Amino acid sequence: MTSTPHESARSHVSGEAEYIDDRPFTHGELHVGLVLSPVARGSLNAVHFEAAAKVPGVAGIFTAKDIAHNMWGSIFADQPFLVEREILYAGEVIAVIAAESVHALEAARRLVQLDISPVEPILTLDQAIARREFIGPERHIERGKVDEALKAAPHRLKGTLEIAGQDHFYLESQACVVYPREDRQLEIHSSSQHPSEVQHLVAHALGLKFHQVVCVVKRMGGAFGGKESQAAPFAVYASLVASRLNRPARLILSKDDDMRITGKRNPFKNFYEVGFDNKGKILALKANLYSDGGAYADLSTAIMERAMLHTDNAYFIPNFSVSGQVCRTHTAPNTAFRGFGGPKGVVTIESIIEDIAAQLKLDPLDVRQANVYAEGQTTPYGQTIDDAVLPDLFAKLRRSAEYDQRRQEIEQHNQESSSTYRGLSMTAVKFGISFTTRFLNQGSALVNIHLDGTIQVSTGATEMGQGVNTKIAQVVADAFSIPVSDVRVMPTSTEKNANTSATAASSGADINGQAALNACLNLRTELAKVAQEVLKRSPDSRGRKAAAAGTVGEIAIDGLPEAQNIVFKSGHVFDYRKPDQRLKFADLVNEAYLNRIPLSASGFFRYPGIFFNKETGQGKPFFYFTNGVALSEVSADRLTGEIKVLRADVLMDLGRPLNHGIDQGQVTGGFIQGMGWLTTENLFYDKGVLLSCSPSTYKIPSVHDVPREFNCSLLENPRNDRNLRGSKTAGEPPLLLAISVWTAIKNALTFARKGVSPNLGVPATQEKVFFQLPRGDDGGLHEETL
Amino acid sequence: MSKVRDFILLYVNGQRHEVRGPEVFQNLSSYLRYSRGITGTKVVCAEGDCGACTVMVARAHTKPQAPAPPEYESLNSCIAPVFLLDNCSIVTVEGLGDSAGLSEIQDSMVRNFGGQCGFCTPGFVMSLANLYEHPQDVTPQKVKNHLTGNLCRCTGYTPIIQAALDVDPAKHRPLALRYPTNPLMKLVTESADKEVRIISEGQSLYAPISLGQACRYKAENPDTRIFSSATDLGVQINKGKIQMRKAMSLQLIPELFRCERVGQKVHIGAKVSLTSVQNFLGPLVPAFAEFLNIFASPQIKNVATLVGNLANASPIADTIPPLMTLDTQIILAGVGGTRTVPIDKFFLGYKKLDLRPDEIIQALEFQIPDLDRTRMGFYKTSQRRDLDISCINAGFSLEIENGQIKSARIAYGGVAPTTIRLAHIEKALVGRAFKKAELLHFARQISSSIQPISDVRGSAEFRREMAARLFEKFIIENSGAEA
Repeated sequence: MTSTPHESARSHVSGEAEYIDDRPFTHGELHVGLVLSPVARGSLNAVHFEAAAKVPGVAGIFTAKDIAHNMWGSIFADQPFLVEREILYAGEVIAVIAAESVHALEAARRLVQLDISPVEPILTLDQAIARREFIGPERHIERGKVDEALKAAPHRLKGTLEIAGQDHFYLESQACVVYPREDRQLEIHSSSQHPSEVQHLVAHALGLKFHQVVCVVKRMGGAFGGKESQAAPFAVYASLVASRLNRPARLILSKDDDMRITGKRNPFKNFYEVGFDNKGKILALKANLYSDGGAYADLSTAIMERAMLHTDNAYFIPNFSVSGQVCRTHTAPNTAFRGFGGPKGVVTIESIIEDIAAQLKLDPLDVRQANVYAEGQTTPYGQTIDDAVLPDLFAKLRRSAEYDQRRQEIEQHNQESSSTYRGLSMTAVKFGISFTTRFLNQGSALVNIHLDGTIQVSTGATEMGQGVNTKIAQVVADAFSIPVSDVRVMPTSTEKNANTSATAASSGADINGQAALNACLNLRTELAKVAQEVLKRSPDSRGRKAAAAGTVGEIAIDGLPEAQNIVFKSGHVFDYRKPDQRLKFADLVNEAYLNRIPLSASGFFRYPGIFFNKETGQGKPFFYFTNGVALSEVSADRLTGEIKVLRADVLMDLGRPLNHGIDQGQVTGGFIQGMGWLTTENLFYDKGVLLSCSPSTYKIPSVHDVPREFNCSLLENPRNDRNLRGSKTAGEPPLLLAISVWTAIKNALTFARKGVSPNLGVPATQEKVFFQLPRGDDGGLHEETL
Repeated sequence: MSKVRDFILLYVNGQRHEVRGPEVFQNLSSYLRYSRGITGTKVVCAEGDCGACTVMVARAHTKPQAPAPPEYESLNSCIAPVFLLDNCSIVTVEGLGDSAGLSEIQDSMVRNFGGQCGFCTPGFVMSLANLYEHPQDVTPQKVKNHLTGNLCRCTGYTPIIQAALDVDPAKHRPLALRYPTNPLMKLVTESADKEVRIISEGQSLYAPISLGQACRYKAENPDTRIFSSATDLGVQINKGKIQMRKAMSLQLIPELFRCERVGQKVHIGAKVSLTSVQNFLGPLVPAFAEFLNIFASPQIKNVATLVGNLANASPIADTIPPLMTLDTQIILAGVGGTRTVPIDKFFLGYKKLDLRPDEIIQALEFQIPDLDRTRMGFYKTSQRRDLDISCINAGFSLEIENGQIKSARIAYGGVAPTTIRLAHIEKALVGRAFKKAELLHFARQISSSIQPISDVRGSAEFRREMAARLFEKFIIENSGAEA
């Protein structure tokens, strides 16, 4: 299938695409660097920067006292931009240095002396839970009578699942450049998913009004949630330099510094008890989720809400009680990461189902299909499932990927092979689309039609590679039936669309695309009226010459009814009853201009009908769900535990996809990114200091980790009419389908352990898998392996 | 007295540049991005692990063998000091297209949605240019092997693999045709008798044209550092762990590029790249050549040398266990001549070598094993199979005669401050029948005779048990029919 290429594809491959650090240096521009805490917790007694300040080329060194308002936070304002006294994590920013060259900057950074009295840090969730070091209130979602149902259930399982964090590893590290403009204005170019928050926080930190600050985002070299809240502090540091020294200032983090300073996917520790019947039907689930928020709140409370809202995942659980509590440790404040809590809820229930199947000696897929949501059932938080495609998806993939035959082959292989165990597992995702905080679900757009018939559109969405700008360009082009090459999506800027939400929650194209479409529809309605009137006139009474001569009267469309017979088709506009009398779109635009009809419009959109009461845990938080299933097959080396993903099949319902190529890329990319979280990505700390802070020690999947056979298909679902042109967003959901790889590893190890499902944490590193393999008492090889 | 040149000569996308002053000591990526203002080449990790900075380079040097025009190969520009690009023609992503538009490789990436955020894309495009520089049948496995050194966080690689397979070879023009390297050869030949000396702002470079000069300079300048390909030193400089002050480059010394078979021995000079070694050893020591498949990336192996991996003396250097099992001899050149040290005597302690102040590693030599009666196996364990530093590695070599072990060599890395031989196990194996049942229990002795440490790559317990398991794996894989 051919689809419109990514709007930046040609500049990506030619090297022309401009990122922050590709901007030419301007006169007097300074390099900005940061001084970080080397310890996880302590009291900052003094900063000695006399020696650093003497390094030739150092232009300024700034600390907390140079900031007008030092506290910030996207939900609670609990985090300082710069440490005042209390240090709460290793990598926390203490001072900002500005220098004429990178060389001087690095020399100065080495010479800053920190006088710190270290304090014993809290570094694990267990410690934080024991000491009740909590952030925000405990939240609950409940339905039915869980304790009674558990007691009455024929079978019960109890367990704990430990889930580690994940670094975003966007290729472009945090970056921004700030240009001071006249009258204390600042122009910020930031690699941010949330330009409005950057604008607001810079103004807040520096004591400026919002209208003195503009934030522009052309594109990001990847973000994945890591630049939702956490791009802003870096813009503050650069803005501090730019405004205090009145010189342009550029802050480009090294990958090592980026990984030390910024937060990760929240680690979780989930305690659960589940009751089920002989067929594996879940009767009751009780789960207590604890997440590691790190040192500050950031977005962790909202992330916890989404984890709780996804602990049911694809499965109807009549009696349900889940609690969620964010904990504080002395690590970098954890933050949004593709899936935003969802993966931690989903991996828990999918793990539970593997364990149920192992206990009952049932096929895990049969157990899943026995529990999957049917049309009309409600979730524990009270939302009705009214587009239940999951039963269909399970059945289709079971058939098309030859599940039953392969299950048999694997049973046989595991009996016979002396080299590997194999595992097979299908999991699902039912991802709720909308911010769970209702007011964030709004978007705006500005559409300008130029006199040659080309269009510039600006929205609040930011482009991080996901192709939102391509989709918006397509929607706008299709609204007027003009070539997509005649539409350009302009850099996101707070001066064109204000008070925007972060491009997050997979909602970027939905919300901003619909806002752009709404603007286009308004313009099209007016242009159709103009067309109707123009077509009534003879060709020689049209055009600039006649208008300039003042020999024809002006077309007035105020009060005219909608021109329902006018159609826009292939760059032309005409009355469908007289298709031979047509106007070129550009000529119509000219006529509109000459008759003083506006050619610019703004558009707005909000997801309708959503609400969620966080205190009661009830509501209809999601505009719709994006659903999918995946089947993964893995092999585990019987001796070394080395894992290979032999095959993965993904089937997703994306409604009527806006751009097949882009959505397919979201699916493969999300899946592999999820695999990294679940297998090789291992954050390694020593006394709270992150040691795996670069790709030589932190291993995201490489090209060799792609499943040897990898089939991704999108199921057309023409029933979906709720969202932008019947599409469903892809963004986050495919990441959660990689959980099938992890459950397949569990499945393989279940064979190794004679039917006992292992308590395998996330990630399933080779070391963890290795220690789940049977082995002799003295560490030698288990005799059965011989 | 030899003649002296005081600049580095290189071509960027066909334009000739003489580089002088502090730019000589910059990374190639910084030079391209900030001195030349071409910013398509990206920097992410600054440690050669992500490939965003990949460029194509053809290196002209006065080869001891019959000279041929140099060929384009990929390298990581973020860790390569400009002075190591002397006599090179460099092509960046900006040099791939032409006035008619994008190259076929670029166009295929566009057609197949090969880029999402685009930040890794130039690096991938350059690695694909490397793949297509030499005519070959392109298979999915070859594509993956050529992309080992490039990380992408957005696409899941699938569309990039698709783009690589979708390139129409008929529309592809190799760089060698677009940026001919013949003029480079001419220049190199003309300046073969000129050493390079550059001093700028507290940094200096010396590139001698003979080994004698190099040894004398090293003796007189104990603080000099030899930059062979800087695939490790470049990382340490970028991370601020060492400063570049007095650098010496050996790339103008022709004999160090010798890579040849001499009777039953092989000779591998200090400047021979791992890619060349891998190709050369393919038929001679296939197990070693295959093991190099999961070592580093094309960008690294195209410049890094076997001798460099040895000289770096990391306890988890992946080539040292194989070299130990091959009883490698190390030839050291000094002011007074050469001497030879056996590899198991060469490492005196953690990163400490039996190397005198004037000495330079000139070459490695070892006997070609008799493949009919030698069983060799090389293993590594790492968090990710490809392009990852080992947690533990191992090399095993058993000489079998009439079903009995005649001699044994066992080497482990990652379990001690240096790679170690397990002499007592080797001794105990000699005379044993080459049968699983006879040999597997030695695994327990192996794990009890090492004291590894815990670190970012794995726990001590894991290393200890894995050491045993790798031996077992070797035995099981090699004695299958003889159980």
